[in-house]
Amino acid sequence: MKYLFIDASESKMTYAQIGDDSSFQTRIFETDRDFASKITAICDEMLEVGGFTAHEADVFVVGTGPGSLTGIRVAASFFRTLAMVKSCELVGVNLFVWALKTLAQAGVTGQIKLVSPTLIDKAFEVEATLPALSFEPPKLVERSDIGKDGVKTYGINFSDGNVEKIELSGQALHDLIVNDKTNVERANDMAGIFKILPFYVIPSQAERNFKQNNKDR
Amino acid sequence: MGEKNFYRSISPEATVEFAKKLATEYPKALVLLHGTLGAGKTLFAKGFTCGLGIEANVSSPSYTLMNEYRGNSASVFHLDLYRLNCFEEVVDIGLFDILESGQPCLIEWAERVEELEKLAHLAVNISQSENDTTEESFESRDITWEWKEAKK
Amino acid sequence: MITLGVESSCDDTSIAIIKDGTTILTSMVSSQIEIHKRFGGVVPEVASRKHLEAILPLLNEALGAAQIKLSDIDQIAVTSGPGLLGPLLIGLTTAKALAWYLKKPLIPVNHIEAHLTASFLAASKKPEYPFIGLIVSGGHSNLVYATGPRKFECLARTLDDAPGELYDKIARHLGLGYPGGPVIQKEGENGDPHRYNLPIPMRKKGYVFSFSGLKTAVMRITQQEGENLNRADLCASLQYVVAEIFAEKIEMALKDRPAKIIAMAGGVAANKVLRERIKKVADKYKVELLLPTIHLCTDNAAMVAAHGYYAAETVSGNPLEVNAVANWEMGEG
Repeated sequence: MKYLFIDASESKMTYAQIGDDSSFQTRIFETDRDFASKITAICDEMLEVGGFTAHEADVFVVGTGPGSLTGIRVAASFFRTLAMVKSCELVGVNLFVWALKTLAQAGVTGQIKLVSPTLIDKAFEVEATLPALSFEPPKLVERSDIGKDGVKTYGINFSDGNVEKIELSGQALHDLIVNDKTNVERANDMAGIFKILPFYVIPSQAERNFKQNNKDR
Repeated sequence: MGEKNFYRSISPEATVEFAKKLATEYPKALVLLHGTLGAGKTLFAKGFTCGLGIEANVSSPSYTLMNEYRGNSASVFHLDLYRLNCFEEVVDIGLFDILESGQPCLIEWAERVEELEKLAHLAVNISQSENDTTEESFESRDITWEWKEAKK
Repeated sequence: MITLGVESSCDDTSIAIIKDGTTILTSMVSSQIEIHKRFGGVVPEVASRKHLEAILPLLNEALGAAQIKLSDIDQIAVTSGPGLLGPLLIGLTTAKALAWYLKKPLIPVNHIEAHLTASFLAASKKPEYPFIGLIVSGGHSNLVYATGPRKFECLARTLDDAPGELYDKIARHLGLGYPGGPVIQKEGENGDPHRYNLPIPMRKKGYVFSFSGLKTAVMRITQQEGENLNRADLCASLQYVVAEIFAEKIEMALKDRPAKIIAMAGGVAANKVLRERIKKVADKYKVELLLPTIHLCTDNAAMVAAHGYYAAETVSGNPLEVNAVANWEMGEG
């Protein structure tokens, strides 16, 4: 399975990974508000590195965040369109699941928390019990409250006092893409492709209102 | 810092010149512009951007929500939050990413997002001069400005 | 030649497919189609989220309606500015993906320039140069002299607000609703345009517009009149003054620059008072006035496709490297 992955959730850089069943390569690109200008060149370079063309790829994989929505939405737009045009598989991977897989592969077990910074003084917090990769919808917390309750807390693009920053692992990502059937979003038809969207941790008002009005259904 | 400063501008041109000079004192600032409709916030932004050494067609970001004026080494961001429909929109346009980057940023109608008051910023208030009833002095504006430190 | 047009600069996503420069095979806007089943018909409130969810289903619908396969598309025209950055990026990246994968040319289009082409498209004509263009919308008030698909001499622009913004803010101030243009037109339909003496800003001051003063003037009148305010008359007076400003400046342009056509464009070009006033100017100088249909007045991808078709040869550099620019000026690189 030949895949191409791009994650643009960090505002100052883009992470790209290309691989097939047996191996993968990663590259980091410097992008600062110009990711939309560089996206085709990044794809061209990665395909060159991977040794296959876009037409030969089997799967397009996009990082769905959370993080800088500008970058995430550009990547999502681009890859959703490719998957639709090519009628091929589209996979969405969010940072939480990638981080959990990284920690699991590093042998971390038990109850942990992940935090991802947002707004000015807040963060999204997720609780998980490794090695399971599932988690409840994130909670919005004050950054000053992080890491104070004794549960080991890891930061995604974030470190502070007793919060350790995770270095997301390419191997973990590779395994998720190639093998994981439940924790990443997989789409094999148009309807499914339309549903792969950025990980909006702040749900839109309309979605909240709809859920509110349809609680009993 | 922390005192309120005052300037009476007698014309749109004077507002622009004044903002130009003020920019040299606050080259990296977040500026929150307050004032009613027609007060001259965009004019102020025009002068301020020029004062930062950036030549650009500064226009009202009322419809774009955010304009970026690019200079040689940095950019100035100019926002107008008047037409914001909801809080998510502020997050989505990347305002917080820009604020973290430390680039100069001018925001009109900042009252729409309360969080902004907590940041260190230059608070500028433009209002029509009182006691003016003649047509000519209708252009006169009272501008006050104050540097506010970040609140916890 | 089949051109796909993509437009997502503001509230609605639009996709169009046109043949050559003048035949519209399909032009669709996202608000028309039933795509938000996930929300039971309620759309996300945040513009960029709305666009991201709408664009691919819309593309799919458009291809079906025009009975065109992706492989039939010869080139892709997309608005890359001006407008809202988030929404622009959705349309731009979608179009880039198509162009990159299908290996077809991408033509970045300036939304305001496309609005002028809409006036020609509505008349099923190719743009004829030179012409005098007036763009009046929420964000723009530009009087230009057009001599080529991307060659515009800007004769006048606004120092501050644009008329659409003026109407929106005043309508809000008067409690009339949104968008301001249509409600002010309706309210002022039987009003007396000479009842309130509003100043005509920049009258006889050359090639310049200014609408900010009208905001303050209206606010002053509402303060002074209080209970006695006649809203219909105020709306009529306001529209009258706005139309007079544009009439004066267009007459100046017709005297300075030879042209046989005036093309009016943008959301405010739908205003009846303005259209009638400019028609009088056109008749006086015996020139043709091109007005877009209501569908083409508002944001749409057909005008983007058409403008891209005519501007294709002017594209320089690598269009796949283009970024969205919220404040992209007409005629600029």
